[in-house]
Amino acid sequence: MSVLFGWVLPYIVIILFLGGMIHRMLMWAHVPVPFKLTVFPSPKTTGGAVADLVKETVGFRSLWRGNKGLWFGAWLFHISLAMVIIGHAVGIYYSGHHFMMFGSTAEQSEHLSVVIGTYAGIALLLGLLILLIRRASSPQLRFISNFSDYLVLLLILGIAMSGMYMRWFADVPYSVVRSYLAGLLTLRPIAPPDNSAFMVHFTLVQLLLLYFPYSKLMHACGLFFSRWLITRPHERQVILK
Amino acid sequence: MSEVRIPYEAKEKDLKVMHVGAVPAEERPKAALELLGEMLKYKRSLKLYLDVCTHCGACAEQCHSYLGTKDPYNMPVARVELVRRVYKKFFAPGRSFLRAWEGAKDIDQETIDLWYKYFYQCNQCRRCAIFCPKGIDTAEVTIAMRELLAHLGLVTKFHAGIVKNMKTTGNNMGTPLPAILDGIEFLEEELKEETGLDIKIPVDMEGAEVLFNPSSSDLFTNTDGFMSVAKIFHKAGVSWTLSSRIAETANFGLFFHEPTMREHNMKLMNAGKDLGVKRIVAGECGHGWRTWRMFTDTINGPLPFPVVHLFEEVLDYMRDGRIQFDKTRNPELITYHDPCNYGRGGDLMDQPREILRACVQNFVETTPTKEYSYCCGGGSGILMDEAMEIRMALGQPKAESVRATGAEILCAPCAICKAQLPVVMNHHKVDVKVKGLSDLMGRALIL
Amino acid sequence: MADLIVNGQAIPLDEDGFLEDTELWNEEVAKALALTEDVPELTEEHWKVINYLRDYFAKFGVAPMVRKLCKDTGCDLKTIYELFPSGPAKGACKIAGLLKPTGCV
Repeated sequence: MSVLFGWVLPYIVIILFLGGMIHRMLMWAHVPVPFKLTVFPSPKTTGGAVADLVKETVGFRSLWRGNKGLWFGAWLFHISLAMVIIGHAVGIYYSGHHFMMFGSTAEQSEHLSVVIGTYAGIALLLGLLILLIRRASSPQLRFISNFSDYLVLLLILGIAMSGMYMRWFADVPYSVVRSYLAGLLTLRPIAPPDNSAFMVHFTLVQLLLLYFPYSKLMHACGLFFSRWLITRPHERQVILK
Repeated sequence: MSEVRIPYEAKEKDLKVMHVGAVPAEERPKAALELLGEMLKYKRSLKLYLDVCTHCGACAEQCHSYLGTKDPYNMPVARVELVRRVYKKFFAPGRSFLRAWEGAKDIDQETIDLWYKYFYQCNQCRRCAIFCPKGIDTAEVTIAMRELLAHLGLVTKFHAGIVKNMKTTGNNMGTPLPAILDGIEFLEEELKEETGLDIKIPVDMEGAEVLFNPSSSDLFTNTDGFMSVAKIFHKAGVSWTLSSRIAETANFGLFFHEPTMREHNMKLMNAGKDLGVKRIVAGECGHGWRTWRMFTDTINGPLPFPVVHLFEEVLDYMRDGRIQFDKTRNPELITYHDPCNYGRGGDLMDQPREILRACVQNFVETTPTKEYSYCCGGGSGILMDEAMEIRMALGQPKAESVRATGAEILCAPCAICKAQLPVVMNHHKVDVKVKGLSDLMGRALIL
Repeated sequence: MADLIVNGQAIPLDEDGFLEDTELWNEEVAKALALTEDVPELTEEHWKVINYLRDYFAKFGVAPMVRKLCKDTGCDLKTIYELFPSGPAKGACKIAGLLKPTGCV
């Protein structure tokens, strides 16, 4: 079992995930855009358009304009998800000692890493619950929701909960995960951590990555394409005084 | 569908001008799939918008169509979902069970009936694009789907009539040249009577500086605005002309038929080239302006002259001191309606306001305003009498925002808005007169 | 739309209630059309407007500018709306047997 789940599947998943995602983006890029579709007011320069994209991707400006409640749920979820993902990368790579770069001791760094990770995880759970309850409780939202809209939320909820379970009840040391992932990345796989919570967590993540290129999760990449259509700087044929 | 469709469908004989034939009802689903497949190959916006929506629903409460009708299919997300579900079934990547999770659904005649119904309840106002975190512009989908329906032979009677008029006379109203010339002669007399001046309205004057392209309704109902324009050119001392080939700035092709839109655009540009003008000045029409401003380059390539809006032209005169306004002649409380295709669609938000401040005494903004402004409810050519009930519902959010200002005059410088808003305001019992900005400029102009 | 029955003869109407064939217009047809427009009786004032519209239509094939209609008949817009509740472009043109003005009106 652990050979299949721990060694074989991760490679298949990562190839399908990256391949599928890149394929989708190439498909978008290949379709022409015959007309300028700018929605005004729009930035006048490329720099302005990029700034616009940043405001949108980091601050969720459009949601803020129209629906502060949804903005809070969506922003909280996405920001904490970003923090969790960055936290995973940094925390596992440096085994929780990354804050030593800023002058802390090893223990302080590990502690800080745990504290920040825990709060980010709670925020992620909270954001997910807000989004899920919002979707399930409003008749309007139920009308526009498909199975996958719930599925994706539940899947991420499962990932977050199994992660938090590991954090609180089944401590899996960074170093073990680090060796395992390093083995995978260097093509010299070793046995995965012998921990069922970890395996549940890791498998759910793989399922999510598998589903990613075929689902609405592609908005993470598509967002940049679709926003560029309406925010790209518009050059006038003749500039009037 | 046995009941009569709203809006009324054009008959097959009326479709010939658009070079489309009617596809028999039972063959429509198959033909629709082929057309959708083709469109996905040349409209990135369509493909993206079908792919990246997360069903967050941020658009729902921002759509005046949903707010006014409370019909769940009028939430932009649900409107687009009518196509997305077919896209998921036949075009989206992935195993069929994955696509089923995303709401994939087969296409049948009922789907096409729903398309016809709901894509003719979207005003293509693009307000949802302002609030959508992915920037999904539902108007793009509506435009594409109406085009698809047109290729199936499903065009509204109203729009088909307008395309026919445009092809035969160069204007939407179908006014033949002798009638236009008769009308212009009459207006010159009226101008003389009113001002005592010989203010000319030239037609086909070669070498004129400006080719002015009005909406044809300016020569039927909105004549005050048109006369104001003549006065302004006269006062500024600019040589200007109309074209006998085209007296129509509204381009209904944009709403549902790209070939018609392109043809119309080329017609004006060719008229401008042949007359050797220095500028084309577009009159009061929202979507027409978007087409001239945003699409002309794609259709006609670089032009020897710019296409500018009347307001930009007037601002030039104002700033140069060639014309002056006496704002005491417009003492009423006046508010401004941003036509969707001026604001969100055409980068024309500050210019009309600068003119308004110069020619009216009391100006008040509506809430919301500018790019957040609601559509009049007639946008995208939903001006058919048979759709009156829907039109009044679509106009409801606008009516409320105007009521809240307490304004006596609603300045709405777009021919569609001018046709729609008086009926809407009357229906919702908002006591306000609707006027173009030209009308107000004309009243305040010091001759 | 259902045909208009005038003196036992069926006159075809389009969906908007305008004559399919403007040639089929006569004074009796006008009276029948007036009933569809909530105009119970055609007075002399009505006929002045109707006749003007018909003359202009015969000459130019379209309805005249509203402003010109008002000026030449001496009826201001308010009077026209009193005579023809749905206005010059719809009510008056329909009763006068013209084609329906279309476009942004």
